[in-house]
Amino acid sequence: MAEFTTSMPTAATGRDAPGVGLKVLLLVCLAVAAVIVDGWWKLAVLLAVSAGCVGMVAVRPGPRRPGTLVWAGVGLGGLAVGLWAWGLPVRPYAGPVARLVILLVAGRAFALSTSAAEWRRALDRARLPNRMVLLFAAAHAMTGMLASEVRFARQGMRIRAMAEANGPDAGRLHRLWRAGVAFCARLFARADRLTALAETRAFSRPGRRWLARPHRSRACDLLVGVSCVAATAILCLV
Amino acid sequence: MDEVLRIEGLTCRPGRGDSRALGPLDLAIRPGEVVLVAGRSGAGKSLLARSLAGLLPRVFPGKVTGRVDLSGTPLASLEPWEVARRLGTVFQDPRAGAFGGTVADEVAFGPENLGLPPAEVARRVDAALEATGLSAFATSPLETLSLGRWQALAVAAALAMQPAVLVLDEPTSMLDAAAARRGLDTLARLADEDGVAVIILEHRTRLVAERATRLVVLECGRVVYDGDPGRVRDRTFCRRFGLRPSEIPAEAGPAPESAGGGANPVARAESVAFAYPGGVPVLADLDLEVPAGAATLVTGPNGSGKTTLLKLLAGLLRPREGRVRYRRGEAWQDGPRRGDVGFVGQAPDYVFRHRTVEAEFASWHGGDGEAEETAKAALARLDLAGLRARHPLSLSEGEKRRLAIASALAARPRLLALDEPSVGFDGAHLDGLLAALHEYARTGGAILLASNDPDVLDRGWPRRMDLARIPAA
Repeated sequence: MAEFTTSMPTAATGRDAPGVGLKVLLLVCLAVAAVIVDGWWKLAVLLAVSAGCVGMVAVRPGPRRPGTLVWAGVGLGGLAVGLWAWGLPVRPYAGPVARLVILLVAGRAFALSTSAAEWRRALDRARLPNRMVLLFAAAHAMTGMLASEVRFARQGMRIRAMAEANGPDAGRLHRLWRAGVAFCARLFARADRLTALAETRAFSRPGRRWLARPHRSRACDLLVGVSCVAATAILCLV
Repeated sequence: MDEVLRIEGLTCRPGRGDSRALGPLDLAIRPGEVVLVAGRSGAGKSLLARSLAGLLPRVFPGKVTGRVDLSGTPLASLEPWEVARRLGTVFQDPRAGAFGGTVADEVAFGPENLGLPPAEVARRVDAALEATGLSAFATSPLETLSLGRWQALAVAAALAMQPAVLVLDEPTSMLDAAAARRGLDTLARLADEDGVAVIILEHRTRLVAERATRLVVLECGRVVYDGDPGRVRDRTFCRRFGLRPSEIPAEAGPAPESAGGGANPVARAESVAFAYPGGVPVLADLDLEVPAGAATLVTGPNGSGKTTLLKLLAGLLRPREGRVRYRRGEAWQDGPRRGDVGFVGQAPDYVFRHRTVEAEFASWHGGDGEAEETAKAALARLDLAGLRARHPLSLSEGEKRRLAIASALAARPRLLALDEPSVGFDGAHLDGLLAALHEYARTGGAILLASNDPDVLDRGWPRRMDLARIPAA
């Protein structure tokens, strides 16, 4: 399978800022598709899945393989084609399910393809108030932290389950409650450390952070943008 | 020469039931000095780092009195970002948080916050990555980094701020010897050529002492020695202050192995291969048999797959190829079951569930007479008896690790996998850990231990597996 290169610039190389705008366009288009999907669900699912895959592959930073999302896309696409071909009576549920699929695929593609730094640069370039940029950066860091906390917590539960050969046997509900309390306690502790880290990296300095950088659109970014507009147009017009 | 950092009568008292305190402390650090700050676990080293960064009581609860001057300016009069520009800090847990998606983004975060021109940001990022050996990983997503590379990244991020004073809390604790030497050489060069004052808080004194110009020893929050770093070669001196000696004493003896150890394997990895999603292969065609009654050491450079191997043996990861099997009686079965494996990872506090050390520890052993006595012995050996009433999450990193290891030992799994167990351990606690492992192996337990710590590696381990990095295609 071919590897896909990046349109993601780095401060180290000083290359251009990424096409966050185009990715926002992708997201908006797919959201529009989700809103108007009633009645056109068969086409919408296919278009959303393919657009989401194209979007992720085209703009994800770092050398990456399409991975699970493509397989998920292929699977969902196949399912949609199967339902369409066999004419199964699923229409009453199709609209909400298609909306959900579109939004999940689009959101996942966007999240995978957009780094915190890209966002911050885009917001800063848009001349948003500094506090909003900081608020976003903090929220983004907290989201990443939450994801890793969940991963570690699951690992901790498995370790305890494997090793507690002789431990006192508490009920499942009680164990889950204790795991939940410990998770929250760790989350607070980690938020403190994240704040400390932010303070040691001049996070609270007033004034603008990133001076404007030249922005060059890449062919794949343009392709994604055009595909999004075309997909929405087809959905609206057919 | 004028001091770049002057501390006068500094006292810190953290809140939330933490009875430890720092100070009163007086220190003066000149530009270009490389100061090694050592001391027992819980002596106040991390508290010192937090207070110098101005985080007490701004972020962490606590009371601070006394005066700290940074380049002649009182710390109390500076905003946090102004402190950050003058004093760089690298914390003990390098994965405490991240603000970028890739390595270069993360390093650029600080200089960008300072509002520097893009060209200057790029120059600083390139220089910091070069100095820490991370240039090849500039575009790597952070989630693909090993813990050792996270540590190098944290140092790079601090270097990119170009501070006058750099405070590093255990910066080499998870690095292999080559990476640690490279990092320390970089710090020594910064001090020598750019006049940066470098303060390194470390338990692994051996490598740091070679490059340090000054040794400060803390005991119960006070400076008890300030002078020649060569004193870490004096065993009596090290024993007196609980430091790790620069040479392993001959009486330390061989690594844990029972008399009949090695006869009965408890777990086996057969032709195992593994790669993280989207990443390069970490392990390929690897065979390993872990025998009962013996300790097996896994070593290798950062990123060579030590942690991955341990997680595979602990059943936390599934191999891409090959299989991991566990012995039950005479039969071999796939997948670990209850009581097969205990695992203490690099983030040990994720297994804690209780409000006190005592309750946490009690939840891991059966509570019957013999088991309780053995467990209490492990608790005492790892010096946790005095911390019974503390909340596990309020402990220092070394204390958390000691609690996790003591708990895992008390649960008596057939295979105990320990990932970098000596991080945060002073000399006395390291000896206690090895004695506890010796006892565990002597009574038939199987131990699989991954480490880069020279004070662990140099114990003459009879069973040792050296992993190498798989070159990227």
